[in-house]
Amino acid sequence: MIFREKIEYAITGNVEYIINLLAKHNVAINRPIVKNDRCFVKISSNDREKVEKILKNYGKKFELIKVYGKGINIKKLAKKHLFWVGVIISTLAIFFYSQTIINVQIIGLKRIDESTVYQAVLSEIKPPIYVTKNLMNKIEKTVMNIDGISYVSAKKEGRTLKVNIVEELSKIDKLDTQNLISVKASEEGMITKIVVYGGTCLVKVGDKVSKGQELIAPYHLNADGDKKPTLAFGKIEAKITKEIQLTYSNEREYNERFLQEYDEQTRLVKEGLSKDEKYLGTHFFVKNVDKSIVCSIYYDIITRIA
Amino acid sequence: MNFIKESFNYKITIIGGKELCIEGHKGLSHYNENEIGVRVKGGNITLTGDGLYVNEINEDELIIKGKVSSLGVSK
Repeated sequence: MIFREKIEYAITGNVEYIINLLAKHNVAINRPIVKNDRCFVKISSNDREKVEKILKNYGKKFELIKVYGKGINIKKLAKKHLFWVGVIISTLAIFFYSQTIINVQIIGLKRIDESTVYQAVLSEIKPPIYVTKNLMNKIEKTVMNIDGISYVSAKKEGRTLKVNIVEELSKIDKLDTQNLISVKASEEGMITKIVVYGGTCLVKVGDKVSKGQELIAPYHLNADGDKKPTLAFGKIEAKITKEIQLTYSNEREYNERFLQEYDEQTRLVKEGLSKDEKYLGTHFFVKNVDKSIVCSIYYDIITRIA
Repeated sequence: MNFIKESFNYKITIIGGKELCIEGHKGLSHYNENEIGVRVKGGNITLTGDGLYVNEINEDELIIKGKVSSLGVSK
């Protein structure tokens, strides 16, 4: 029963006697009212059978006047509205299923071992689980306790819990104004993406840069145009070209062998790419050099150069 | 049961002259809106006032509401 019902009876007889009789049998009575030799009492529906039995045993005339407040009996409701109960239960089940976390994704780690953070998160939750706001705050606090983390933000995206982390600056990253280092290109290529966290970017997307070229200078310009030393820090991606040369001495047989080796080399290059790298395409040139055949294969790859 | 009730059989609490609680009662002796008589061990309590009514009663406790003007205990 969800809501308690109250039942009002009109009982004929001496008021004091009726009240004492019911009170003696531990029936709670609310506001008995006396009208025309009848006592109107309100009792809880739980006491209904008990009250009627007492009154019958003591030969008291009674009449049920009113039932206050509709009680909801889950069993009765379930039998009566089986279909709708099923619909509600399945809707709730689908809702909780869709809100259940099954994946945990850690974002923003560079130096700290990802498994350490995973363990910290999994110490609070064991997917699949319904994650509440409180639980997310708990996860954030637990991850914050790991050394080297300065900020944590956990949020739910679909069925994935994304834990965004900002690591503390390492000693190298901390600004040494005496020895400022600029960010330089590690490889030759064409810039495709620039993200600068600190310093002044000296290149733009589409620029061709050579290996060792300065990309981010360790200063920023203030309103007066003065250079203020700062830490040069950023992420620059570029399209680079990797070259592989295959040489064949026999002109007649090279074609078949080259095709085989070309496929094999392409497979190796694709497999060797890291998560951040992207394979764009390939092209090749064939030329005669001193009676032998030199085949140059060029692979276009987008990779991080700084 | 607290110490007072154990020692003196019943306990009366009056709240602002508008609500009265009797613990350890033995039933009502008379009941109307101007006077309510309550039996207790070793005597009778008579309440007079206006618009008196029993707000709640069970085996041990009785709550009376209304404007209480006097309270008398007789043996």
